[in-house]
Amino acid sequence: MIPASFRTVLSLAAAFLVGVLVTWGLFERFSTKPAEASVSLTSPAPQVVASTSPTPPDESFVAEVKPSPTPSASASPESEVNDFPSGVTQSALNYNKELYKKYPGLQPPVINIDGRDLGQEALQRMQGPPTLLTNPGGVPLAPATPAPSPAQRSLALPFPFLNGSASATPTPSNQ
Amino acid sequence: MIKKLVSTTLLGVVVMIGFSSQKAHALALPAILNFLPTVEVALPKSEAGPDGNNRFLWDYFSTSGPGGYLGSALWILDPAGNVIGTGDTMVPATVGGIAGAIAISFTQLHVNADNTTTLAFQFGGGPLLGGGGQISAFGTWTYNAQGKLIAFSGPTGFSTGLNKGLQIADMKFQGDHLVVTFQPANQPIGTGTITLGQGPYTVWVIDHFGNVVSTVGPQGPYTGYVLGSVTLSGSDSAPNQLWHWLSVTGTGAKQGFALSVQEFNSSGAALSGVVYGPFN
Repeated sequence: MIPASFRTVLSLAAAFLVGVLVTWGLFERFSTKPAEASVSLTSPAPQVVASTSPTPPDESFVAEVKPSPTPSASASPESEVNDFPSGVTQSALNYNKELYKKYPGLQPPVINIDGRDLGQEALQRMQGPPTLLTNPGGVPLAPATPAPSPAQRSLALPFPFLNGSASATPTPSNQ
Repeated sequence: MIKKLVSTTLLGVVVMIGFSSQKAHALALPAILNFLPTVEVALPKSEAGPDGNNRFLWDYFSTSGPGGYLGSALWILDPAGNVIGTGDTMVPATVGGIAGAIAISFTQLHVNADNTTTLAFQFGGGPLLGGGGQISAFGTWTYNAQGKLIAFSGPTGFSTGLNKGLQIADMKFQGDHLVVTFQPANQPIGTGTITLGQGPYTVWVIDHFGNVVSTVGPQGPYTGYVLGSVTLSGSDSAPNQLWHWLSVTGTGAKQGFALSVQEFNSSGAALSGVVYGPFN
């Protein structure tokens, strides 16, 4: 026979458990869970290893040395449009001269318009000193110096400030 | 006894509520900051074009002595993996790279909508990759679909030196454009902390031939602001720039993060500006 005091304890524990289960059930019912994604465990099929391999350069590597693959298919022949090499368009040559005037010394790119080998020219430029332009901003303000807000400079239109929202979820709003 | 049961049941309810998750007020941070700037060179340099062919780079490193980057070669593979072309000019070692526990050339690769391939070089590994620290200049090479070099630009940068020089704070492809962000050389980048009041910033947009097609700046510095992302809109030949600034506004319980957005045309003229937040 179960003692009366033990029965009381059991009853109270059951009541406690009921309260917990009911509350948990309510939360589960009204909460939103992320959808569980199904994961595919199929591994990719192994690929046939290509027989071609690159030829790494010797230690006395010179930039002109190229890897020597063994192409198993030929690349499609170059086609010229408007006498330019494939890939070159007239728009490539129409750079914005006003933009370049803003930065004295800035050079437009070299575009291959006659099909020549650009390699040597590109290497000479790359291996030479960079073109260093004059800093357009001069000496920047020290961070400790108060600076005007964007509302007061640089913008032609008003820069409205919004009051903070009391919502816990950011709700973008604009004027 | 009934009273004890009821009160114990309610106790269970209260305990469950107490330990359950609750909505809490919190700050909202606009996710526009790049905490890993200039590390795009560590991404795979392999990309397929609209023609289905894959372009990728072989990076060469010395295996003896102190080691070092020796240059890169472009290969073009068809969808079956057959080599159908190679770049006719190898990228030289002067671009730079890291040879050690990780091996990276300071080059980004992008295949354009017309099946040309543009390589962007950052001279200097940047603060997160070492190999020279700051990035002082950038350059581009463009190959056509057959691997022929058809355009090159740079290396270009701004006068160096801590008091009046600029460094490249970020550089990445957006579509077929290269977006390059400059800020003063004496300001920290990539530290993992939000530093307000930095700048002034200058942002260039480069097309896939190496033409500079959009320039904005210098803008800032502004107290309480830091530049986050810059996105593009409008025409490919003269794109507008949308600058996203993070700012900290308000005080006390009203303090929070706000997003300030400015639009500029390709010549740098301001078109619009708006602020969202702070939200708390």
